[in-house]
Amino acid sequence: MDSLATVISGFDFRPLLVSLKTAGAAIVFVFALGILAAWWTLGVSERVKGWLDSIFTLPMVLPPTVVGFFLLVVFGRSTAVGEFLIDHGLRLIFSWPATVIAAAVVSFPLMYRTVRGAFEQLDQDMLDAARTLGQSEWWIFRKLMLPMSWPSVAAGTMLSFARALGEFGATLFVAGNFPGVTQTMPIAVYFAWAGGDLTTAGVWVAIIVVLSFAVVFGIDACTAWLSRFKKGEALG
Amino acid sequence: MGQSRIAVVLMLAVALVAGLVGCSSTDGASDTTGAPSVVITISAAASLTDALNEVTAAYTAENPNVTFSINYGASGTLEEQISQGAVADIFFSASKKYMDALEDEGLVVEGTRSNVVSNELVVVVPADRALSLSSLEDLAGDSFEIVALGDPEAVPAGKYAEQSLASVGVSEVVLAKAVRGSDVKGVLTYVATGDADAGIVYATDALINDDVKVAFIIPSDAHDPILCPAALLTVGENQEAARAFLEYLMGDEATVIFESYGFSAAG
Repeated sequence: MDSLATVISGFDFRPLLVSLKTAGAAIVFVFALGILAAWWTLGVSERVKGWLDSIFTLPMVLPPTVVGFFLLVVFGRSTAVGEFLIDHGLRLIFSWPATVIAAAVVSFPLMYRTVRGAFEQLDQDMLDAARTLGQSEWWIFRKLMLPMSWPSVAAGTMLSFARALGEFGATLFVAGNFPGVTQTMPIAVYFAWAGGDLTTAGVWVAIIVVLSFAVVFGIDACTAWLSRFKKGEALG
Repeated sequence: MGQSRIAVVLMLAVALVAGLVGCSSTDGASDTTGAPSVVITISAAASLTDALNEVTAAYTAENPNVTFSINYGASGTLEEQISQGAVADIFFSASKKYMDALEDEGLVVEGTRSNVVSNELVVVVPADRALSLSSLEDLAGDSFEIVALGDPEAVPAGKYAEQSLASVGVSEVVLAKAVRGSDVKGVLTYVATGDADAGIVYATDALINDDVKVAFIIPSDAHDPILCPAALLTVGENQEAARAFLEYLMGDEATVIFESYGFSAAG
């Protein structure tokens, strides 16, 4: 098709790169912090657990624009905290790191809750048996809890990645619409539409739908493959 | 058993109340003078916010049965909404481009389009910064790391800004470090909070915000004339009342109000 070729050749694919880079960087932080936060809340007292859980889950429940507003207040120049950071060289607003922060903050709760759910489902007797055998908590975490929770960890990672890819409200607040730097695919869709360029908006919508399908299929396939070993089917 | 039944009854009650509240309408209700009350819907450019609010308030004071529902935004965004089926009685744009687009689609009532006011473009900086900016070329300098503009495709102020930058040959450099706002008020906020080092907005926007100061006025020959047309839309539901208001908008009383905010009459 002639028109398809023209659309593709002149197309600015930067939002795709920005989105992938951003979600990729965010997921690294979310993966590590989500698992550690889940492990941490397991071991604290009941009262503290409730508070911690609420704080960690909050970014998922708050409207993204509210999250964005808070981030702007923390890192922006309009407050003392922001000015302090800026004076020490950390000018984050409208920079690429801001997109990573926004994406990481909103997708962190997904990872945290998924992994925590998996940890809580683990057989406590087995973990206690390991403790009576003298194993450290860290060993138990590495050798028992994590391996047995891989399906959930994988699912949590992919869900968080999908959420990070789709982040719009908070990103627009702190990172703004900066083509090539902070303009992610969701932001590109909005501004293309607002500017009357429905073709471009349509292309991005198609790309995002395809990517999202891939992520969902990935979650299911990964989870099924990892659960295979738990059921003992693959072993002889 | 009893508990779940109570729960069901409660839920039905809530749903019923919600339905009644949502479905209630005040169409046909009249005020004390007996004239039917009308709500005129206007889609207007963000730059007109404060001035238009005062104009409509003045009109309502004289015509108590007429109230307004105004949707402010970037003219490009508003045009898209109307083109996709949004209902409004009047469209008040900050650029002729979007009015032309609606006219081409047959959404404008013939003979009702007219330029209401004109505006000027200025470069602003945060109020607490030292002023080291006297021309557009200065924006290309390193002391301005981040510049705020309206998105040129959707925001007229952004388009005028792009034209101005191109007229002195610095558009590539400045656009590369420009964060694009979804409407001109957003651009103003970026500068007011200090997160952008400079921005291009209308003179009228700079006037009402104390957190920014004007560095200089961009010469009007650097961009297309900034004319704000208003017109009646064919999709509007209150044609008569809207037509009457449109006349008021073009009249002397409204002009005085617009001028007090820094607009100029479009002659």
